[in-house]
Amino acid sequence: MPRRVLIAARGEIAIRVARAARELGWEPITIYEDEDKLSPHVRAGVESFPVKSYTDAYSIIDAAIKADADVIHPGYGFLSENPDFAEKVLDHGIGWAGPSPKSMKLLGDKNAAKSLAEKLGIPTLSWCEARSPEEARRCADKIGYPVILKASLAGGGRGSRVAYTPEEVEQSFKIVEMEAKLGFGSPGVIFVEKFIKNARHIEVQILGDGAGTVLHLFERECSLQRRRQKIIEEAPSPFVERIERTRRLREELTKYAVALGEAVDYASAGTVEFVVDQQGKPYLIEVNTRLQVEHGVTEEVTGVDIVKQQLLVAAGYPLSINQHDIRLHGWAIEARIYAEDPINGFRASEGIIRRYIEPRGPGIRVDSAAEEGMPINPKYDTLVAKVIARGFSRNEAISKLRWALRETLIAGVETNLDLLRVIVDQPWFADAEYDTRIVERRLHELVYEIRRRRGIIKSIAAKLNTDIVTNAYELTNGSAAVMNHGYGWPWPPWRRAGYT
Amino acid sequence: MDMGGLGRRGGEQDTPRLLRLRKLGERLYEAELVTEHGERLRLQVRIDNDVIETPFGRYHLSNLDISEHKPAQTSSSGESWLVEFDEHEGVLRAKLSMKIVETVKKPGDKIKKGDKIATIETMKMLNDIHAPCDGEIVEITQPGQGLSPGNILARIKCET
Repeated sequence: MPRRVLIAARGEIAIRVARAARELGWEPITIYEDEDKLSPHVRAGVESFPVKSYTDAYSIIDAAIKADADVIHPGYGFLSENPDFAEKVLDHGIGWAGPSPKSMKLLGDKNAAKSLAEKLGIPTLSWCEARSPEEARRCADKIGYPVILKASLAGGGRGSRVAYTPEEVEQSFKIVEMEAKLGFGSPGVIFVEKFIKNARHIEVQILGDGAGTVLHLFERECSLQRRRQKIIEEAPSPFVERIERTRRLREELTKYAVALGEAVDYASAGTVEFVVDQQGKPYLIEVNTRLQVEHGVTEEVTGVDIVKQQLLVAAGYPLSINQHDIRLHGWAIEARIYAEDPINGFRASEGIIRRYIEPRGPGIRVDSAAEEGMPINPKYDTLVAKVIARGFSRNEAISKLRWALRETLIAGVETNLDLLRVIVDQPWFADAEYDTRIVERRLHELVYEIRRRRGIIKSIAAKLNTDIVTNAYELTNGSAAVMNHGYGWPWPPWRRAGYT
Repeated sequence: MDMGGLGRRGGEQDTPRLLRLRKLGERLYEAELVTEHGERLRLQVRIDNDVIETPFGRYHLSNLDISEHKPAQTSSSGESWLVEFDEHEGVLRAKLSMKIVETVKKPGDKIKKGDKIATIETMKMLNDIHAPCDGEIVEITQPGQGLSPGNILARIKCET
């Protein structure tokens, strides 16, 4: 009997989940807020229901009851990490495509997760809570410098600062407190934590059946971030691969992640995040009890459809795979295209997507909800598309990604596409010599290169614009001739001349 | 990547000069340019209606028109997206809507280029604003006040 899945998300992830449901022979159902009713994800469902808001638990459960849904999949963001919502869903006899509310609560609470990790022998970063600048300073003196101050409610790169001296700790405390108030309405609690310089961000994907079986799908590295938000991710981790000769890091990370999952009878998909220092010593930072944006790179290298496994477990089926079925095949790298302007401080951009061309070809996967005519509403996540390239080796994946990003075209709204193009061309990217702060550190030269390239194209376009463009428009009617020339034109020659 | 000149003029970049544009075929062109550093470049582009295909990838003609805020001279180009300094008038203006959270200098204070003068909030993030030159603060907006794009954050007398 076909099962019905209500997808409590929007955008690319709602479409991604809808595909998984259809492939299982199930029926996806989507929801929408009034101002979002024309968005593409609405059409991804066999039915779609209006809700008061994407974070209104009652109207979502109402929709699920009306839709006769067997399972709710929360995607990421919104209510995906809210144990109370999960509890309500289960109380209504609906399956929850996530871990049990109990393990969400335990792992979602920094305090509890860290003590559990310590009990299991998993290294964590020393930390303490502070309520005043003086307390923060005492705390930092105890931990040792440098430290990072974070608001407990922080996210999206706000509300966290690194401090190298006692004076900086006191100053940073005030700033973090104020940012938390501005951003989240409350200062919450502020954590002072040991800060690892030149850290790598490496995480392990786990899958559990809720009955004691926990599998791992190896690791991902997400060290390329801007303002502490990931923009490029890869699987496996180049750092783990490199260090593997001297230190069995992969074994260590996956062992920790599985132990943590087993300790709570983890169900569904989860991610155990670590920072790893330059010597290869990992420290647990947190557990994300939901599907992650970057799950696609793991799917590409393991061949496992993570969303389908989530749906199966939520509907009461066992996982359809064993640990020994899971192997690494090749390399996958994802670049996230956001509607934001890297030249102007990554400010979110607004607008309507006027032209949109996705890359194609073997090994290229695009997860996106974008289409021409779609407005970018800054009220929601500004992710436009995730371009994933898979190759036999890391080098092949890079060159596929490089050309895929060059093929991509987005007009009408400013995006970080040019930044991504420049990053994947950098020698340090090819050598995987990066850490979580490299984009900020090198932003200057990256922006310089973006401008240099635009400057070159601009001066040519300015001349062409007057001479030719009018002419080119006349040629569109039915003209689809392939140009034959011998000039060594670097662009793919299979492109048609003229656009219809 | 040629990084020469970076930071020398606060990140300002000149547009390369087009020397020659030769038509190779239907909508296919070869351009010769010279950059601000005298580097000569030769590259081919293909124009496909509103899309220009280049060795760096596809660009939409509108992508190139997007207002590239001309980098004004600012204390640190890290904050050039927030404020711009008009050297002639000696005024530091907001480029975005922002709120003054804290000022650490007052009128009459001597400043050195790069000294922190204020903390501002924009898009729920805090950023420090630094002195664009050695000199003296003439006037500075009070904490708590909001600024719209173009409003004056501070008047500064630069030493010449």
